[in-house]
Amino acid sequence: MEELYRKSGAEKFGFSSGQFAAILEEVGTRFLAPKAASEETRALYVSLKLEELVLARACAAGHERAWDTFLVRYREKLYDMATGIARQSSAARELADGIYADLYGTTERDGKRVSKLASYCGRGSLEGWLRTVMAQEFVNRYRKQKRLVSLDEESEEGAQFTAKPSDPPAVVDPRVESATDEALGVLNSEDRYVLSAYYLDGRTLAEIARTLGRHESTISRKLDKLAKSLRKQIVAGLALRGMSRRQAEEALEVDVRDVSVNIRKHLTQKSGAQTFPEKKAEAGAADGPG
Amino acid sequence: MEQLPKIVQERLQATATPEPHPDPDLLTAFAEKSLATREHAQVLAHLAHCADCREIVSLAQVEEQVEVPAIAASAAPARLAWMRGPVLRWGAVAACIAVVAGAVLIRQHRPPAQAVKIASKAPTIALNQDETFSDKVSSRGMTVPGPEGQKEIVAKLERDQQVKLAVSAPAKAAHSVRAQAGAKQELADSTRELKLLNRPAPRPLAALSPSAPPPPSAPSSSAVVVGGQSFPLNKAAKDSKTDIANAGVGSASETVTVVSAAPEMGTSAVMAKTSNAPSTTQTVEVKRDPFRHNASGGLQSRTTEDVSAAAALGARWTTSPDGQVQRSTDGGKTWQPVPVAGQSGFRAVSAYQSDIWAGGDGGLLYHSSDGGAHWTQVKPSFLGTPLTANITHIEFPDTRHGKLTTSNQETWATMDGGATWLKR
Repeated sequence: MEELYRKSGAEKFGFSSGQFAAILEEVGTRFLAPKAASEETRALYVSLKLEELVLARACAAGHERAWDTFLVRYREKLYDMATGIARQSSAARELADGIYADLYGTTERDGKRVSKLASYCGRGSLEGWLRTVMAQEFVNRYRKQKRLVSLDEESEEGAQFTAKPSDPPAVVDPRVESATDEALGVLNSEDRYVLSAYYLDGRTLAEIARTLGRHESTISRKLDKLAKSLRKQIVAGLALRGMSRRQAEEALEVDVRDVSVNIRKHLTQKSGAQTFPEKKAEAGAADGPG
Repeated sequence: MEQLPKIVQERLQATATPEPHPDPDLLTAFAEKSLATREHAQVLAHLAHCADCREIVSLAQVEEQVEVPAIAASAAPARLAWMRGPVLRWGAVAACIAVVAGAVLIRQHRPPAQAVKIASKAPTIALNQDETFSDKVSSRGMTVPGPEGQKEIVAKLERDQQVKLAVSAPAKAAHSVRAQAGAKQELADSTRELKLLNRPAPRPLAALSPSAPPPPSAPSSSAVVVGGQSFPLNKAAKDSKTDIANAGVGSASETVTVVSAAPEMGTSAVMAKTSNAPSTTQTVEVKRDPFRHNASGGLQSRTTEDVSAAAALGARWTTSPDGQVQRSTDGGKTWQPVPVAGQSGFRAVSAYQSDIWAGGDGGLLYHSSDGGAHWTQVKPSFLGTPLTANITHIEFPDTRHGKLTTSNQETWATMDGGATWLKR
């Protein structure tokens, strides 16, 4: 513990060895099992970013010198991170200001200033933690807001305020659902993550590869393999549920809702092309040369 | 890429498990791949089901620099191939030899008595003159030859050998000379000392004290070089602090005292309310010694900040009853109005060195970093809310940390020189 205390530089921020030990104990309580072995505890403590942990806790306690150090290291980065996350300068500015206020601790609880930095535990780098917190705030605040559109803009653009057509409830064969759930249930976490990130979130192969620490080509091959394997398993599952192979493949290829949308589109186009053709012909004849 | 059937995508999305979201610490450690295997698997299992956490991890990851300059990449092999050529290799060797030879020649021909030269970066005062050199000559059992003899010896040594003279800090210690051989060293020493004999003996370090007159005649010893600038030694040298404090704005010359163990002079900003000033205004007196000494007594280099500080030294700032910013350079005897972008209505002012803040009605706030020559308006805002209240008090103990107090008891603080603000 003394070695960790010396390594962390906690003394320069006014932390005694007892206070430092209390911080580590708090982190241990949060991430270790109640009766964790001493080796596991030691491994956790050694893996922590101690210097950054002490800095964050000193800032949370209002230590001026710690704040100076924090600002020198991270002030510019906060705004750069916000720009990278929010993409728009106004939103980025607001995001960074909000996070800055939370880090500084503008709210009080029981007469004590509450700083978000007090929740940093040193598992990852402080910079990475700041980025994660900012991303979390962005996801919570901005992506869940509905975009407000000016009525003037809409009328200028010619947008019509039509009622949203209510889709008929999709009738999906329950056998297809259960066979699909069965096939998805046997996937491991990494495979499921790769499928979800690519097909649901629209992440690129490079992004997924970076997250998992794999090569992009590895992810590409994995996706191909998973998609083919899932199809094969679902078809096999449907066959067990009484479908023929052809029926099973058709069930996977065709979605009832897609078909109904196509029909709607087709009908709309036909009526538009043939609107009152006879009346147009009469009008053309009446205008004539005269 | 193989397409995933729509039903599979829907079922993938639908089977999300409502687990508690991982701590930001864990997500960060996951993104940085610093989690243990068990924890990594737990977080990955959550991410496989939680779209929000997947998005957070994706946003939080640093974008790698994908724009590798194609030109640099393609040119690198060509450049390396060219560098492998013998021409560049031998050219580099020749350049190194030329640089070393030039340095040696410069050292040989450099006048030894450069008096006191304070290196811009070195924290010590380097001397190339040992006050006891004559003692050294006699201690070696040598006699000082006449002028002709001196010339002969100097010419011979310049032809035959090179001597490195290393003068080590601190100034109190005797300088040390590193020699190649015993006999040659003695000759080299003699040569250097003979050269020194030809010049007037510079005064020892102790003589450059506040009470002692400067050394006569030798032009190089009548000035002190600090950071490349030459400052004449004032004949009637006074205490440096007194001189500097009384120098005021526009002082054309400065007195430098070179002492071997000067106490460290720090900066101080004194803010006081004068009895003459109205109770609602704030008057500030700035005192600053621009010549900082380090712990070992050496002078640190002068910076632009020091020059500005020297220019604004001794200035007092206040606001007049009609809201004008005023400055006094004679200790408060007379005051001159300082135009601040044509504005008025100032009620508070704070100054630290040449960093001046002036605030007033309706959140009016201006900042100058050059002693009032130029002003920039600052508009503090916090979470999108601008400061609009009347500023009644400003406190800036240094250039970065500051606090504004308003008439409605708001406190606005900054820790980065006004770039960002927090309201309490």
